[in-house]
Amino acid sequence: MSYDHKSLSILISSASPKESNKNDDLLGYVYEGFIDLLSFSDVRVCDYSEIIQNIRSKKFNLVLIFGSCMPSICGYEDVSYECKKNGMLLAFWMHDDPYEIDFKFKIEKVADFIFTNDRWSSKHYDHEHVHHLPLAASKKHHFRQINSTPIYDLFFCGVPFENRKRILNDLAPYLKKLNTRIFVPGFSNLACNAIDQRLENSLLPDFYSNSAITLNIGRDLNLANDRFQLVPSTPGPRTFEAAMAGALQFYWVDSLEILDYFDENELVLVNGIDDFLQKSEFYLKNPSYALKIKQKCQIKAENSHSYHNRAREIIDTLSIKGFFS
Amino acid sequence: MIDNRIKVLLLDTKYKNPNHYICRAIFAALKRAKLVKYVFIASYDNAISLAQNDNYDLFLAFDGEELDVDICSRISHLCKVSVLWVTEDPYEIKANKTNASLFDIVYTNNLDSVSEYSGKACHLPFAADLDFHYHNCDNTKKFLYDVFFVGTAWPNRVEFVNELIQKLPNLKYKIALPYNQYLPKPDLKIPESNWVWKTSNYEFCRFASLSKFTLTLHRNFSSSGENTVASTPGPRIFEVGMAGGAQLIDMTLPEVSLYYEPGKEFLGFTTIDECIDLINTYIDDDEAILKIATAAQNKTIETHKYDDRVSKIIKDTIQRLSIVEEKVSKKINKRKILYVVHNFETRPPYGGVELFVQNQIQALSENYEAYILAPDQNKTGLVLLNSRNKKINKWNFSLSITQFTVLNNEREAVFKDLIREYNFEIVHFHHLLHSPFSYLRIAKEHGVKVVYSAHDYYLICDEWCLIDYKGDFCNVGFDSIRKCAMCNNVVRNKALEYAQIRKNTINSLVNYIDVIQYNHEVVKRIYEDVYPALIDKSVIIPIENPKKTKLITKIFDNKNLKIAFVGNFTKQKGADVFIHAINLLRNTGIEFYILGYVNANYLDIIDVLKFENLTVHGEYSNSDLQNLLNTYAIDISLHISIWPETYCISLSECMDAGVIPIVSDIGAHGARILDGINGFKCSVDEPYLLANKILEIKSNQSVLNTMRKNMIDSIVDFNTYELYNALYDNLPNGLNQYKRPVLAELNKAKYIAHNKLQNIHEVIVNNVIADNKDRVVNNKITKVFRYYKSYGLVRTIKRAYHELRS
Repeated sequence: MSYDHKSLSILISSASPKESNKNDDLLGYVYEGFIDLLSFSDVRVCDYSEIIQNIRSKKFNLVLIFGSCMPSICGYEDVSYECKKNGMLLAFWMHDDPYEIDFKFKIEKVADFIFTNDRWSSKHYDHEHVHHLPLAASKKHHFRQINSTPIYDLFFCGVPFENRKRILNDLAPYLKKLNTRIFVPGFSNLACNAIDQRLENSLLPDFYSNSAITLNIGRDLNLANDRFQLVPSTPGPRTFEAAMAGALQFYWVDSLEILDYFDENELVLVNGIDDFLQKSEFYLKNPSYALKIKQKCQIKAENSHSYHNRAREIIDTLSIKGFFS
Repeated sequence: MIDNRIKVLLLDTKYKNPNHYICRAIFAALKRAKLVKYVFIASYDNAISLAQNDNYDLFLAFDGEELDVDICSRISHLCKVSVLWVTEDPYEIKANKTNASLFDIVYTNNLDSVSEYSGKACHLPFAADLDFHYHNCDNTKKFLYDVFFVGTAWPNRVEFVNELIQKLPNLKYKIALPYNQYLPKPDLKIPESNWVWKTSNYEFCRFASLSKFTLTLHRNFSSSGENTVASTPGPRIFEVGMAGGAQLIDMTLPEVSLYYEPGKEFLGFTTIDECIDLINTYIDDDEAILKIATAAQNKTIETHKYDDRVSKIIKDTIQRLSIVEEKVSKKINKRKILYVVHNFETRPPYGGVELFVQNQIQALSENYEAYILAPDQNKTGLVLLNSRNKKINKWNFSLSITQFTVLNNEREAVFKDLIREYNFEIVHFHHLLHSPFSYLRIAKEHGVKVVYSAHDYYLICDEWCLIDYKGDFCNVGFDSIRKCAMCNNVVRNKALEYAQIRKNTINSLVNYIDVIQYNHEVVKRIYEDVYPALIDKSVIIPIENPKKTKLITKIFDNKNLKIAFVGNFTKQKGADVFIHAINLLRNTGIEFYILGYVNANYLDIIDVLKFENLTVHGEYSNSDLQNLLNTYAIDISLHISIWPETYCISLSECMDAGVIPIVSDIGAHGARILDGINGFKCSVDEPYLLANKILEIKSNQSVLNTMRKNMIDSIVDFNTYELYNALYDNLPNGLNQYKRPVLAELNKAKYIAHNKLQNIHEVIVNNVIADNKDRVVNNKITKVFRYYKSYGLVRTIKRAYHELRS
């Protein structure tokens, strides 16, 4: 790279105030990713409600707003004005595309650069500079030593979207026979062992690590995706987090973009009920194969899918486009 | 060298379009096309503006059955050649045929539908895009699936898939058959979770690329009830071709052979048994499959990209441009203007703004046909008035609008119809109270030029006088959002988020304003501080009425002063301050008058306090003020609003009548008067300060003679209406900001007024400074110190701030 990233200073802010931000943890991971790359003195993190004051306090090279711009309280005209006035680059990294993409108008007019978590969504922005950047995992928070003797046969945790309920129902006769931990808040279904309980995010890595199989089923819930009705293509953050925690992921395939991040030696692609039965039986009977996959997957996550990697990609992308010249 | 490249305006006419990616692919292809100078992808809210702004050669409307006829018709008129590319024939042929009449050239996706357009349409099939659909196709790829199919669960498809799985049960299938409420639930013999799933268009191509066979089954179902079938294949044939997928295609619709060669670039079948035979023949021959896939990919890259389709459109456009005469009328020349107001002259109580609007309409009547749109008396309806204030239409609605409202379907529909029916060139908003803010967007969406006059601060706060929870001017600014949150919460019981949400909303709506007009620089400063986006849209035109009477030249001597409160006697105008002040001045021999409407509450208070030196004249008609000032022989007028007035026409009228004003030291009042030069200024925080000021004047009346001369010299008689004429004549086109030179020209008015006053001020102040420089400085320090001792630090800082602002 032609730039010297050591000379950069970055302000990272949440895109919405803490009160309306359910993914506050992610902001912390992004912050850590940049600190790994730069240093504490060059990276600052703040809440949406404090952006303006922070912008005025120091000459940042980049103001990166991360998160969801959907809440009605979120607007960025003032931030954009302050950034322009102070000669700072204003970039956004949206983390809820395409589920909230109808609100993209809020940032298209003010952003110098847009990063979006979803590849297919990235093709739908009215902006000259849009770059696809998936979410990732935090080594500090998600890494676990791989457990070669898992406690549970199968682990799943997630909101009961229609697709998830459908799959769990179809898998029910088989799941009943396994030692499972299936946490689906708001969906109690004894037939498939589902427990109506919400798990704290901080507990997930231990479950990933202590389970022979982690079931990975994507999200199917749009909050504001009425205009183009986009279907997501990029896996969500938990795919990377589970990888970092050493899970054997059974990835329910509705997009093959997963292969851009992990190959078939690093996780298991599942295409339907019969496929699941066949593969789960194999890996439960052959833990040594499972262990190899877990190890490879974790190494890949550490090397390529941490927030450190994403932070570097942001800086490299902006630099290549000439924003730091 | 002549530049023959064309300028293109592209619009996806379906606001909600799951196939919008095709429009994006067309956009990308147009950007790459050598014969395109530039292309802009528009949306309904900016399309007309863009078309007005530039002399586009081509208006390309994508998709036809849901298009907005009014908007597309206007754009078609504004661009040299208009083209519609419909993509849902034959299923939506009826709507498409109707809408086709708006365009010069029509392309239909379906070959069999061409004849339906009576010679106007050409055939243009879908295509594929390298960026969206290409995947690597060589022997390094590893197939994940044997048979891949994604498509809506039309009954014929479900039947086929069921039979295929039954007859070839050992293959690896990847099947998606989404259904909706209009279709029977598919009865597939595999678990539902295997076939109810969705994928993005990009990933669809990757699935195709990594499957041995991608199945194409036609649709024999129409939502309109007509059982028609498209002859031309849909986009997926080309997308899978580009992805490097080997296709098994149902040949009951043989047109596919026009695009790809059967047996070489795809495999065709007419019955399920033929399909099964083909699968059995090729399933173990990866090399043969790859060969077919590669041949299809090469063909797609060669001839079925959107670049190829776009080049036909460009060619046809250029050909048409050579025979089409320049459209003579690019602009609609009717000079029709709509004034949106909150009230009008014939409906009391009204103020200076209502009078001004009426005068403006009369003054501009030679060039403009004006209409007024206002909420009705009960705020549950709307009335439309003509330029003579005659009601020509009215509407009643189910709900009244009492405060800040962004959307209101009923009123929006009326507003839209009005714009279309009258073909307004300009909408000038004098106030949005009791109207939805979406009017701004709707006006712009229809290519109407939008002017907003800031007669108060309604764009900033529901409390349009900016009086805060303590009853004082709130000094709102860029950083006030937390204060606004608190104030809205305390005064109006709004949620803490309300202020920020309101600000965000206005911030997004100011994009639709072409020019915002302020009456005074001080108002501009407040607005631009809160909404920096307005900075390039500002113009200052004071709302001055033409001067009517000659100035009185009486001499002040030691007589009893006569002082009038001028204007509606309200809290905001300083009624409380006035009452407290004259209560302190009961036995001074000074006579007070109230010239303006006094409501019952204040009449009661005045009655209880029994002021012997007060005459309540009450309401007066606009033309009477100067006569009244003469009749009562008023020496001094009071303009002591506790809010930052945006101009104050009555202040001008009093000055015109030779009456010396005392004004509050905020807003336009404070900025128009230089204390001790052309009037007096007084803090309205404490009424006793006003009493003190009046007593000071009483004891030194001789200064009033000099002051009147200064005041007369500072009056500028410029023609406001001429400035408005210039403003309307030079409104920006489309998305351009206001033409800078014109803006500067218009802003001259304020400088003329300001400079005259400033000159007088400088002469006097310089003399004083030259004579008494040290004394002045010392006096100021002493004054500050005394004030600090009396009132403490906070009040002193506040006072100093007010002094500095003014």
